Amino acid sequence: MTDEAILQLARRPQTREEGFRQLVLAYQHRLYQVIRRQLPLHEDADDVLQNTFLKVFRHLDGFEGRSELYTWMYRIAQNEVFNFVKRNAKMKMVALENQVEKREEPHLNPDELVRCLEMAVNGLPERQQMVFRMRYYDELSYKQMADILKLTEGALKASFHHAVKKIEEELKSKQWL
Amino acid sequence: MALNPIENDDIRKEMGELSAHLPPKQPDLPPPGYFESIPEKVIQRWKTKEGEIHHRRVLIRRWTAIAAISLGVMVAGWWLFSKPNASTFTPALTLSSSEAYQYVMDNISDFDRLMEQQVQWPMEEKIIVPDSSAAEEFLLEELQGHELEQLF
Repeated sequence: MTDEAILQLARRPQTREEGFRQLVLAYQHRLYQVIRRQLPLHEDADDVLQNTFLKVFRHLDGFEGRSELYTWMYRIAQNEVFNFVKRNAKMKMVALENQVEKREEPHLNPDELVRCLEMAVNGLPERQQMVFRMRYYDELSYKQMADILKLTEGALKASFHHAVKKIEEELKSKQWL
Repeated sequence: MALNPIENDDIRKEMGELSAHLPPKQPDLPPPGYFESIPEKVIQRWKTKEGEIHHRRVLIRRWTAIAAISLGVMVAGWWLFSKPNASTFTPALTLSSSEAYQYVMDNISDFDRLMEQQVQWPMEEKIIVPDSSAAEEFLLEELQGHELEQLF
């Protein structure tokens, strides 16, 4: 079902429930991955995902279609994650980072390399971090990223390129590559 | 080390050398059956929340109405009772003379003070009334020796 069809269903009072159901079915997998990547526990991700959809339902009438529906929902999901993290200050990520920092073995298994990658990403400037995460993990197009971050596609491409180079250097310097 | 894990070709190209070293991106899997249950869960929560919002709106309207009525009653009460001694005068206007008389007689002691007060009457011009002998003398002068009967 297309975004347009979902929106039409969700905006009519008689078909609203069906529209909401279709919306959840269409985007639950993608949004779950976006949220879960930032929240290691399934229970947390589940809570945030449900809150995201509730917020989407509540504000759907105000969605003007200036950006893609997914881009708009992605932004809501990110806000929900941010609010959740603020509420729960003790994030698992801190423990994870400390754990990785202690390792000094030159040859890493794939799981460890993923953690090291996360470490290297965390060391990037804020904008490059955001751009890298959106592009690499969430696989957003540059157009979608430009809508969300209000930056030009050229600037985003440059940021991503710099981020990749820095990560590569970081991993090599620690002999993780 | 695993070869390129990235499904999106464009991203793989942009990642260059780094993409060749990264392991496959493992999607974080939720418990089995999770995605089947999510639509109903979310819709149920939405319905509950909508119900709560509706209930809250009704409550707010009800309390607003109660507050408005109370305020109206208070304003009306203040307006009625703030009129100076209106209630004191009204019964007097409807009393019959016999009732008024009865009231005065029953409460005659209340009027003692009024009766004790010295009433000051306004000054009146004194009319000078001549005594009878002076009047007789005046009349005799006027007659000048004529008999009274002759005059009529």
